[in-house]
Amino acid sequence: MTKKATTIALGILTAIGMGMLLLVWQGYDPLDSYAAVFRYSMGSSFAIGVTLERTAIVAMVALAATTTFSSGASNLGMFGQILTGEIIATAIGVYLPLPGWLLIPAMLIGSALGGACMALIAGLLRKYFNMNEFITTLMFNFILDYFTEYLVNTSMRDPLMSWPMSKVIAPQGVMPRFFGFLDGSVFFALAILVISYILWKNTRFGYEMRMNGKNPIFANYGGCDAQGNFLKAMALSGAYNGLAGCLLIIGSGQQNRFVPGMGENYANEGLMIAIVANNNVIGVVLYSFLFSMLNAGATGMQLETSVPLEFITMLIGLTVMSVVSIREYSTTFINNAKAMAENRKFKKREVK
Amino acid sequence: MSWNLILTILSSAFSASIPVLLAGMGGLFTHHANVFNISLEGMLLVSAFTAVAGTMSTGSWVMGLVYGMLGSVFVSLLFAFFVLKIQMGEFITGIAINTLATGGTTYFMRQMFNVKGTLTSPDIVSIPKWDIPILRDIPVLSDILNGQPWLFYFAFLVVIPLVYIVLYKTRFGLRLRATGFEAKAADAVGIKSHSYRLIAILICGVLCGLGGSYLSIGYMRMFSENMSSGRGWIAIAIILLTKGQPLKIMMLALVFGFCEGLGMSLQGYEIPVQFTYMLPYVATIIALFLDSRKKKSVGNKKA
Repeated sequence: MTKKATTIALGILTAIGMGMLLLVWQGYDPLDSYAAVFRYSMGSSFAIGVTLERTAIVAMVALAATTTFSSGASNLGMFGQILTGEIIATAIGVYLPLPGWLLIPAMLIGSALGGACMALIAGLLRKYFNMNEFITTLMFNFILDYFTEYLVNTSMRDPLMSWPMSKVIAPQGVMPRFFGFLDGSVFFALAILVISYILWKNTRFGYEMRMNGKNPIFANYGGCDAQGNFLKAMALSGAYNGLAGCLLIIGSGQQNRFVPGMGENYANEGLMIAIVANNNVIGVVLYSFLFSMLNAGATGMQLETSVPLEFITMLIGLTVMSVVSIREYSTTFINNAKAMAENRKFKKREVK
Repeated sequence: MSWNLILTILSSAFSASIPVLLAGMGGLFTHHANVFNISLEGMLLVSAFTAVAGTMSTGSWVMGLVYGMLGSVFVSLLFAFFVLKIQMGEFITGIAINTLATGGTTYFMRQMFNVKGTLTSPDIVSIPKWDIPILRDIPVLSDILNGQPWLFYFAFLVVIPLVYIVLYKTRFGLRLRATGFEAKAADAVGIKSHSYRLIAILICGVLCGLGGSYLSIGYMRMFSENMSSGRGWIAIAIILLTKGQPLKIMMLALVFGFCEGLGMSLQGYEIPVQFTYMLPYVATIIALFLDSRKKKSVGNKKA
């Protein structure tokens, strides 16, 4: 555990250091920039609210990625499934006249089902036609991006806006805000995280999934239904992505309408978080929070020290690389050292 | 459809296939070395950017091409370092590198040229187009094939034959394929599988560099955010479909180029633009589907 914590801390510190070097090289004040990031993401209750809402959304995507990676399926269609969730939530929110207590659940369930269906299509194509789901889901991303863009250019377009985007959803469909700054989606995401944690650790379903990811042959030998579990994993991860899409529409800090291409950065970030968190639900929460903090503070940093906010995307990439590489390298290093020690023992014995 | 439109479609089909083709040729080496390289997308994107930056700062397309290749080789070195030295997973490294490429190109585009979204400038020098005397006189072919950037002819007439020869007719190619087939056995007979993998990744970087440069200073004359738009992924799909055979990769790259060219040329007709843009991606899925049908029928015959 301590080893884990040290490698993570070392990785994050390395990334922060590299980011500083980059800032110095580009002629900015690194400490000021980092301070601005912190101030604009954690400095006031409003800022904390923004950060947490973002955390909630990106944690959903990261859970989706975790589900696929740890069960051995490779669903890379985060973006496409988020778009599906978004467009379904928007359609329900704009065109279904329901009271608030019914509208929000309807949007959430509709989006989750939509995302699950999109992922399931890829899963079924794999099952029946042996088409690599890693490529089909990726291709669906592009297809869905264009398709949703087509929808908001034609039938779903808001005629009052000069850019193609959908109408704003009904006001009772927007998530309520608690204590003046905490969006409802934070609590929703927290509930989903707890359920997922229990599902993962304490149920047969979760166990079978993990076994399938660790060693599919063993899982099959032990009597798991590999094909069925694969489809379930795909559907589940699609549902998480759909939920993320829905939260992107209904969150009180969001635009509450569909804009083409929205959510792509969340899709990438979710994938990266799942990788650094090493398929661990608590890790997902922590990294989602860290990365959301960086992203929420990016605009403030740009405002104060005029560092372009794309710097944060790079910093996140660097963090992922350094945390994972230090983790992997430390295990290789330790294994090598053990092997060397064994080797030495063996040689001594031979000499005798 | 008029005759002219068909000629335009075919012409842009050949032109549009080049980035996918070159990325595919690069990815083929890593495929044969059994390195699952999904950073093709990032390599294309970075080289497209560095190529534009190179021409804008030096004013010559030669330097643009050199910068493009250097950018992509840098990415491939990064990939090689993490995969071979640190032994990080190939998949993870690829995803992280692609994200770094997206963030990095956008950041430096803003930083160096102070623009967001799309970078166009009269300072971008494109690769010179060749007017080939013999081709000029042949009626249909001259419309389709003449007047393309010289990298176009280079890709078809030099790169593809060279890749084929290197892969199947040289000792290097044989050893590379042996490495990919069974690294331990290759090591046992004295082939340094590690360095063969490194060389494969570097070759991939060089070829992707050509492809990315073609994208930004040959095919178009601009750089935009995420301009590779899935071409690297399509190249990976093609490699997996063809199991890394150069000639088949060329054929499929042309098919995808045709879809893209069709999409570009059909703009302004009754079909919504979004559907024409979808074509290459839909074609990839259809190709995967057809491939699976073929395999099934072969299996049935055997049984």
